[in-house]
Amino acid sequence: MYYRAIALLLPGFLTCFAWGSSAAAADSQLTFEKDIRPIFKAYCFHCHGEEKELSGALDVRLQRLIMRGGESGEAIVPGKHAESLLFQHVESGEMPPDEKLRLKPDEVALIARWIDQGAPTAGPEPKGDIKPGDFLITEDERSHWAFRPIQKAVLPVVGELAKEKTQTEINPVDTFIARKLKANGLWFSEEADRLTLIRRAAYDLTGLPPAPKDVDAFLADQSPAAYEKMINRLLESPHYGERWARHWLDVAGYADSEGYDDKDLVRPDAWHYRDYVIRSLNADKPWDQLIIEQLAGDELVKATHASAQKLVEEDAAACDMLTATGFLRLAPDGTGSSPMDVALARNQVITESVKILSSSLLGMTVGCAECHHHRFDPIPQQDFYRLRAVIAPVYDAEKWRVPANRRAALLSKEDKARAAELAAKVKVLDEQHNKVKAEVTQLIAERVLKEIPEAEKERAKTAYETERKLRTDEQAEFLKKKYPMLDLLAPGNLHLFLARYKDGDDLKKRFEDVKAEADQLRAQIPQPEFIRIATEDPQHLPDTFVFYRGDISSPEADKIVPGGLTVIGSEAENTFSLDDPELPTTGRRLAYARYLTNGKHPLVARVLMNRFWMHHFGQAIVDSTGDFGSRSATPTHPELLDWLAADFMEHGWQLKRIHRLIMTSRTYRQTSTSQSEKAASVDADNRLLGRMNMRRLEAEAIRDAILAVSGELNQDQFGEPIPVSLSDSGIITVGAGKISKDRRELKRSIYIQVRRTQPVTMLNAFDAPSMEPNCERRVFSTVATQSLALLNSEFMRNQSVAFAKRVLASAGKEADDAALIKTAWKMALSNEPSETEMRALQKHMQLQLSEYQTRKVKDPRQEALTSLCHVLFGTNQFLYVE
Amino acid sequence: MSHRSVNSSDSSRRHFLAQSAFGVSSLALATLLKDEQLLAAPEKPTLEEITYDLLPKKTKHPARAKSMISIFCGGGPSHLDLFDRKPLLDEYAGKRFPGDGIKYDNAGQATSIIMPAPNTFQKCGESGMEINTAMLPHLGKVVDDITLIRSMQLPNIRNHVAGMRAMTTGRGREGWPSLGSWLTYGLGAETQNLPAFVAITIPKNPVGSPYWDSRQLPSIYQGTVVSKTEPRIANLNPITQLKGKPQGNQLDLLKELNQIHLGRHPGEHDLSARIASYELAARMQTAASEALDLTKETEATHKMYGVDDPVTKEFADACILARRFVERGVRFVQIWNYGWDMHENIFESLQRRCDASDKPCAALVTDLKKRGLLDSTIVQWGGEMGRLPVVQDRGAGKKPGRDHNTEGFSIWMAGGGIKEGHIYGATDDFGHRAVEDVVTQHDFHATLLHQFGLNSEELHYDHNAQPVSLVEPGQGKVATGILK
Repeated sequence: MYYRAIALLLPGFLTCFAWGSSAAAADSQLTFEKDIRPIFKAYCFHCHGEEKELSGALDVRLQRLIMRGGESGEAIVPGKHAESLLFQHVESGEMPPDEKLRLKPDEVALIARWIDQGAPTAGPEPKGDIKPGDFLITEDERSHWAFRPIQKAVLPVVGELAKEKTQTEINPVDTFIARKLKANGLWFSEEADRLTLIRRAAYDLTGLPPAPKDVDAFLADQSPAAYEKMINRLLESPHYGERWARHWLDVAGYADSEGYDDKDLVRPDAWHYRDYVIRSLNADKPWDQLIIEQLAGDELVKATHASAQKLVEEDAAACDMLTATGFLRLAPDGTGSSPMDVALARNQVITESVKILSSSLLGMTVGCAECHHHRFDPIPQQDFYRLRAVIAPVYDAEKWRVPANRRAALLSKEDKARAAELAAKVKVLDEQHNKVKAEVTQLIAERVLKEIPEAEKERAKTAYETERKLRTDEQAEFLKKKYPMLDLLAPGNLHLFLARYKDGDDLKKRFEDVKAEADQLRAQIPQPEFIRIATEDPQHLPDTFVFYRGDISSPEADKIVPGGLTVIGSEAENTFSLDDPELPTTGRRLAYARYLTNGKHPLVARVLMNRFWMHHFGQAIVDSTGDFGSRSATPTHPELLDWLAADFMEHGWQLKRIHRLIMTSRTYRQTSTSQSEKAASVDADNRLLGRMNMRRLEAEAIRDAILAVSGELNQDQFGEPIPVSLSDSGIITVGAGKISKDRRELKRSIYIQVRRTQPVTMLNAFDAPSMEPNCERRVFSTVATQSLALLNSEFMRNQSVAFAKRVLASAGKEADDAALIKTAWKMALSNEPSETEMRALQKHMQLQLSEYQTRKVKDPRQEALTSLCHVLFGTNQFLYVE
Repeated sequence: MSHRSVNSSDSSRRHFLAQSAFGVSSLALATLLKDEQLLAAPEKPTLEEITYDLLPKKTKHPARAKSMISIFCGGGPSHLDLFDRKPLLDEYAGKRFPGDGIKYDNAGQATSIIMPAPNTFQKCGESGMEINTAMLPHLGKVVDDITLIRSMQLPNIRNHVAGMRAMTTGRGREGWPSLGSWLTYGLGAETQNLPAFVAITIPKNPVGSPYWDSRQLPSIYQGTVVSKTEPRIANLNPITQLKGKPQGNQLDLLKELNQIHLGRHPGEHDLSARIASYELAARMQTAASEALDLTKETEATHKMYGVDDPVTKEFADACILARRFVERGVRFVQIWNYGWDMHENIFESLQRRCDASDKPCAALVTDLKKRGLLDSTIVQWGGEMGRLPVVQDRGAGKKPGRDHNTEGFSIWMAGGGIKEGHIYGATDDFGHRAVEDVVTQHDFHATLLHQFGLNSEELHYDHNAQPVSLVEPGQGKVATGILK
């Protein structure tokens, strides 16, 4: 419901219409398929064709169906638009009935012209009986560029390139870029200098500035392979995985809290999945495998609800596969925080998971088809539910398991043994405690009995000693009325009685001491960490139905079979069995993951490659990284995208290989400074890549780089997220203000807790995403709050102080201003200041020094240097990569 | 050397950005790619990378309002005891509520015994608007400037957090951009020297996560918190070592280094934008400090708002501050006062809360009007719910209260093209449920956007290639009955 209406109003989309229709077709023959159907699909199909009941008995999905007319008679009179009912209705605004959906005047005009031209079609229309409610996909839709098979084009031969190198030496990437540059009268810019290259490569691959010693080594290396060696070194860095995991965690929607409502409960155990991603990328795990493991790691190792825990304990590799399935547990999930509407909350988790799955891997807005057929793309509503059926067995809405129950415990053998040993000891002590307590109770009973008059003593004793449940009514009544103390006396409320006796405390001590000992041991029993896993319950298989208009209380009749997008491939290829007899589980996700990675799926590799490219160049080949559908942006280099995607798959889906390929290209090694007037006028936005793009660092890279330069960075990898906290002034910081002994607050940003309702202020200011449910593409803003954070935040102050100390330690206390400045500059920016820069920096040192001397601060020179270091962090040269 | 002048390309681009409320699309690429055999893809413009800023944007239709001050009385002020007198409650006092459908959020203390409102209602002003003047004497004097909406309703929303979310983001569920973020996204701000969206919190933050979050919208549309204690705005002021000259020197050096760098990279918009953003930050420090300085206000103003009285001071400060922000071009100010949740001892609590706020709130309306700002500023007062007509019984010895009611409650609005001395909508005879001219949160938002020249059906943001909006299409209708 929602998407349909609003999408129609997208200004961008209306521009598309204008392009596709009136402008392009002013003097040409119109056809139903190309010109008219998109209008009808957007405005009319919903009631006139795609619902089981036809409004007014008119179906407008095909020209021949329109010609049949409806209840009111003929819909169109070919050649005469004014006499055509359909035209009259849309022109008067009577149709569509929803007044928010109004055809644009040029759309109405187009319909008139089409009718006047005799309502022609482009070709023969589908034959046979087409039932209302059936979803029709046209040939045009099927042949949309993103749905076509990925083809590896022959590399273009560009003369200029061939002049410089032999054909085998030419980087394939360059041939595609060169061809288009040349066609537009442009050419590559020159190669960037070495310093620029190593900075660019280091940030790209590790998200950190290059270490000064690595810079020196690279500058000194005169061998022809110096550049390749430098790239390889960076690819081997353990920080590579941290950098590239961040990109994937964005689209996967990784968070350390459940979201959904204000409780936003912490997910204390999601981080094992985060570490799995980092490790996998460091190991260059092939992406087909990576995808299969994340979607179906449990099925790979034949795990089920029942067997998962045992597998985790006994088989490290299986444990890894199960950790990978944490991917399916990333959606916001309110089912563990007693939501108001339990059924809705459950449904929300499932639909958000489908959305994450489709936006991350398919690059399609499948989520729009939750309530109705997609308004623009050939995605019937069933497709959303086919995808839902794929993951349904791990999100069984009928036998729901809250997040805490979808985990497996991690406990080492030693810890497990120790836990058992301690538990046994505790058990003995607990028993002893109970025994002593019972003895004391008996003692008290005897004292109470002593106080009872002889005449009734025996009766009271018998009654008391009879087990409460077995007492006769008479006995019970007797105790209750006459000796309520005896009636109440039990180990459970012994403390009430002990207070009556002088030696009460001593008696209490007898059993309390034992308890204290037991509790002390109990606290030492090792507690397990958990991994969040996706597993199925072979005993219960939920059915999937289309929900009419997305309403969970209105399931339609037909069971939905798991499958991929209808528009891609044939039914035989994209539909999977409900239950694979070879596996203990349904096998749906495994089949689906294998289908996605079989090398023939047109979307997966393109979507991945497009994002990889974006992370290297700051712009994607297809700008709409999350929408490859009919409204996608036009690819700037479609053949290049296909070539890379095909090559990626052919060579085992290995990303590091692709990094090497891209980063050794001439395209990548260009300077970012435009030298060409022509390029500036023809291609101001640099979409043809006649130079490198200047890019601002992402939020995490800014923080990490500052820590790296100040020397404060804690390079420890992996582990529990570093908690965040909210201060009174509304700032959300890493840690609780102080630096802990283990310096965890200074770890890389990827290890900071991602609390959906508490984004770290510093990261948030620089556009770190909000996971709702995921972020398939970041925005980059430039605003004053960022500058304020850089100028005034406590974090910046602390890091500047540390940086200055590091500079002093490195240059020596005796060093003059120039030496200090050069040292700081090199640490922060890798190179040396120019003469004018040096003058400005020295002047600053002097100005601050005299100011601080006047103010009589403790160490004016160090304070002046701190100020200068602070400024370096805020320069564009630091915040941007050329 | 490139011929592209940094200044001209930058300013023309900014100009372009300023013109388009909903992002920018460039046709240049389509031309570049025209000769390419793009498989079967139809020719169409490619989206240029969209950048976001806070420059003022043109609106679809002329705006009646330029800014808004929302006084958010979190907890649920009792409409029955303040704004919506129901004679029938007196008649039924102590008797059972004859209707049905009451939902109790505190079922353990629920009763169905009707509790009447204080008999201190009076018709006020020329409009004869009837409100409880024992609690709201000052509002009584400005009723001819306001519209009282007596028919607010939050469908399917229960309890505070969901209610406050609904009023601020349109949905009960966590995770959506707030009204202030939407307004600044759609309109930018009239000043670049102050935050565009300000949240003033008194005396404590409302329960739940922040209600001024930009969520899916870029973070530049996030509300800036102004708290009661220093630092009043996060990162606004330099640390001690940099106060005064040292930071000035830093800014000079930054500018010089960045200019040299820009000289090596002519035409990079973002680099020059960042240079500008430092200047902006510097101006913001001065401008915000100036705006926060209430000593600049006259004695008479202090008196009018009640700064001189400890009972009203906190609220008075917030209201003057809100006016000062709006005067200086801030788009949206929300004053958060969580403390209107009165399950027990409701009449005394309500009196206390009104004593603290009535004078400042009424003064705000008067003051804005006097300064000619009310025409373009919407002032809105209200919470996320009202209260039930029946007693909430906290037990023996406890004075009675009222439980939550999201089915019907009252808010008032003034300025920005809203009718004056007008009553809109009505609840049923027991004040339980809105029945006439019902205004849901969606209608409320659609109406606000309308007054700001925006169309709730169009204002959206593409998140993960899907549109997110404040009002879901078809859900909100503009309450034209409250518009002049």
